[in-house]
Amino acid sequence: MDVINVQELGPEISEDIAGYELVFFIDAGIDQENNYEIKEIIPLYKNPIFSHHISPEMILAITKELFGVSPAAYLVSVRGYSFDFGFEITREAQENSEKAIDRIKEICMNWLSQKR
Amino acid sequence: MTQKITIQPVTRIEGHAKITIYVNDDGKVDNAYFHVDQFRGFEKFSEGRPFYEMPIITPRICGICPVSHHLAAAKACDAIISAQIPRPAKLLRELMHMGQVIQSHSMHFFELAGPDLILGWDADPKIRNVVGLIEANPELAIKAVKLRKFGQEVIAKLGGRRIHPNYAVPGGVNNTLSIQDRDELLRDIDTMIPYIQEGVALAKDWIEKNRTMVEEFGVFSTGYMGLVNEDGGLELYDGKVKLIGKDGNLLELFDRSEYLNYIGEHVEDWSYLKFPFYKKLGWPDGVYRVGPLARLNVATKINTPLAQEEFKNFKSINGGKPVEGSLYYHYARLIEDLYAAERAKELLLDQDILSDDILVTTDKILPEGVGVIEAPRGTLFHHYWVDERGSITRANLIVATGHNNWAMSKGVEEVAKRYVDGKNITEGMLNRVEGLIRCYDPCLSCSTHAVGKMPMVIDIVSKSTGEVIKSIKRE
Repeated sequence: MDVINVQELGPEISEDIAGYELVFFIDAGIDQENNYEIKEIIPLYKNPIFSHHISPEMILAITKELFGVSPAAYLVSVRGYSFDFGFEITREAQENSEKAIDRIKEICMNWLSQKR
Repeated sequence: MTQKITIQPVTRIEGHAKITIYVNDDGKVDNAYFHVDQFRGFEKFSEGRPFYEMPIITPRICGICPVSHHLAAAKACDAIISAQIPRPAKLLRELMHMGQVIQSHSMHFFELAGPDLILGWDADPKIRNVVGLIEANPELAIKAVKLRKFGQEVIAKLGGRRIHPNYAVPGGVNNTLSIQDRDELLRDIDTMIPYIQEGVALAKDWIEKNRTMVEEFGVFSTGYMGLVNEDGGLELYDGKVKLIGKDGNLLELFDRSEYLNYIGEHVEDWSYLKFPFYKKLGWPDGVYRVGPLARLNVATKINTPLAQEEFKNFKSINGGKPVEGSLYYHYARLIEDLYAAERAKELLLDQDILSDDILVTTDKILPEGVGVIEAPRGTLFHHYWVDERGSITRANLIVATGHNNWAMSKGVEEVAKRYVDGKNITEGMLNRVEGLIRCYDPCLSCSTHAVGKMPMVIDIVSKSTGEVIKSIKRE
């Protein structure tokens, strides 16, 4: 398992994920009711508005097109509350993150058990 | 009745902007404006911070060219502590910069400009993007991905991560380059150089086939500014600032610390981005351009062999006089890309690149310091004033896109007048107007984005009634 920490998604991420079977795209969310949201995503072409604003679905599509593989993937959106400058995330966001991580672990375990 | 056409945001650039085009009753374009309508205030909220934090704070201006801000800030900090950094540290910083130039220039040509040039200005916008490129030429697309990744690997091996590295510090850098990392980069660089040459050939071929458009698309006279080395050659990391006039004659050659003597900034009430100009000629006669086209216009040579061969061809375009066409930015950008790859190889082969003599310290705190670097998009100045404790009391950043602000506005107007028919507005016409902006690869600063939050809206509005006559939205 590897963690890649980037500020934005770029086309080159496609080569990074091409060697993996399961990928989670994790980011902060603002316009959502739930504390965290996880949904399975599939390769999907969307017209990119900006070079640095390529959607996770689009990254999957590029990966499939360029490298011929399509890892299982989930988009994880963790609700954030304050995006001002600071040194720590808020307590609520921290709690949301922990819940999301627990759910990600569950998905990983299920995925592994199905693989076996 | 005058119509107002708004293109907002402009797509395939870095950051937020909009274009407003005013069309008269005859369907002709009266005038057009390029607005930068975002404001982030980095200069203001830097005040009070310790100067040595600036190489970490200022890269947050952008996720595409953070290395430029990182290094310009470090150079300004060097000046504040009056440090002459060791040669190995300078080589390592320059290597990181070459990585940034490779990833930024390659991404721009293949992924931002490429859709217009390779798929066509009037191609369906649904496929006129990186995916369309992949479908049209997957082999080329893989090379583009690998080029960007290579550039980012250079940055990551030195600074720990691809974006927002933590590497340059006042007086040098904070880490050495391992033999293993050096060898890995050397192994890959010989693959990258032919990839870039392929891009150069592609650009030249496109120019040849579209000669008429190239010679009329955003062509106008300005001055040009860029760094040059001691021999007058292309320089991206350090050197003197050279300013030439419209005819190519030398106007100024000055040290970075003197920039305020030569550069003024004009303000318009319709844009947050200021308009720099050459003070001695005043506003607007003193407008100039920066970036790849400008750098090749001010340089007399390039000190790497493959790029020098292309440079000779570039110089022949206008008989040695400045090349004025905005579309030539694409060709110039790829020549620089080639130089950056060749220069990266030179740096990696230099024995000092592995040295651990990477930092000097001093106990001085001078009242101010200026850093300058050639960011991928043009000359970038960082100027900090500090108190006796080293806290920032004032900061002035002149970014590459600011220098080109007038040129982009001028170009937008020229292209709109030439291509936009107010009585029969097509998406392809407006894409040409956006395409002018993309020639300059402006970086209007990007930061946090939320999924799905940036639609593009083109509104055509009656100026007299305020009625929206036509609205186009891209998701």
